Amino acid sequence: MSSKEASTVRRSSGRAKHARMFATFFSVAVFAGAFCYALRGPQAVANSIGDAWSELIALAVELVLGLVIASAVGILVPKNKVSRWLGENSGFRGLGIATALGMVTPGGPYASFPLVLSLSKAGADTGALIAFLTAWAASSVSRLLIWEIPMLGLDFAVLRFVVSIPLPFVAGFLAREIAARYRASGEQSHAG
Amino acid sequence: MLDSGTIILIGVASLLVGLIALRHPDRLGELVANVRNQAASILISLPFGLLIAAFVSRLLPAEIVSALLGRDSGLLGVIVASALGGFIPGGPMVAFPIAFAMFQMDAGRAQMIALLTSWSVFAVHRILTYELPLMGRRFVVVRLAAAAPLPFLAAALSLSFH
Repeated sequence: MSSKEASTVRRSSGRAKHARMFATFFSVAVFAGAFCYALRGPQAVANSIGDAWSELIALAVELVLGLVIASAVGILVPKNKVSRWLGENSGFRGLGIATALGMVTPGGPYASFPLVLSLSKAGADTGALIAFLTAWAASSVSRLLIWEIPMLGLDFAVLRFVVSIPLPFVAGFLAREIAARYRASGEQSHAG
Repeated sequence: MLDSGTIILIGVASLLVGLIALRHPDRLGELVANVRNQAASILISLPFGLLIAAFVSRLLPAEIVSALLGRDSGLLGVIVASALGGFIPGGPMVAFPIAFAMFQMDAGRAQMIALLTSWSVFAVHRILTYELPLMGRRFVVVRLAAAAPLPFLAAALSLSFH
C-alpha cells in the first residue's frame, strides 16, 4: 500500500469513527432528554438545554487552551525523560511522580486528558498515566481548596483527601499488572 | 467572561507556544495539527456530553439516594454509593452541591467518601466525553478494572480514622 493510500484509509476510518461517535452521543442524548421530558416535564428539558449551552460556551475557550498546553508539553518534554520517569520500568517511583503531578495539575478534563495523551505518546506507560488520572480526579489539591473545604467542611474534606492518597498507587500498580497480562495474552495468540 | 483561571491558562499556553517557536520552530505545524485533531474528536462528544449531564442531573432522585446512604446503611450503603457515584454527571459545580445535600440528609461519612471517590474516578460523562475519544477503548477498560476497588478502599480507610 502506498503511503498516500494509507493516509486516505486512515482519514476515512477517522471519519467513520467520528460518525459512529456522533450517532452514539446523539442517541444517548435523545434518550436522556426523552426520560427527562417524561418524568420532569418540558420546562426541565428546556432548562437542561440552556445549562448545557452556557457550559459549552464557557468551556470552549478553556478547551482550546487545554489542548494547546497539552500538545505543547508533549513537544517540549524530551521523550527519553518521560519514558525514564514514567515509562513501564519506572517502578514505584514512577507512580509517585505521576501521582504528585496529578495532585497539582489544575483545570478540568479538557486539559488533563489531552495531557495524558501527550505523555502517552512521549513514552509514559498505562500504569503511570492511570496513577496520574486517579490522583488528578480523586486527590486534586485545587478542588480540595476551591470546592470541598468550603462545601463539605474542613474535617470531612481533609479525611477524604487523606484516604484518597494511596488510591493512585493502587490503581497504577493494578493497571500495570492488567496491562502486562493483556500483552502476554496478545503475544500468546500471535504465537498460536 | 475571563476569570483568573482562564487568564492563567492563556499565560501558560502563550509561554509554552513561545518556547516552541524559539526552540523548535519546525514543530509548530505539528502542534497545530495535534490541537486540530483532538479538538475534532472532543467537539463531537462535548456538546452531547454536557447535554446528557444536564438531563441526568435533573433525573437524579436525590432524596431516594440519600435515604440509601444513611449513617446506618453499612456495607450495603458503601456498595450503593460506589455503584452510583460514577453516574453523578457534570463537574464539581454539579457534584458538590449534590454531595452537600446528601450530607444535610444525614448520609454516613464512609458512604459519602465512597460516593465522591466513585464520582471522581468513574465519572461516566467524563469517560464518554474525553477519555474514550482521546485514549481509546483498551485504555478505558484497563483503567476501569484497575480503579474498581478504589471507592471501597477509600471508605474502608476512612473507618480506620475514628
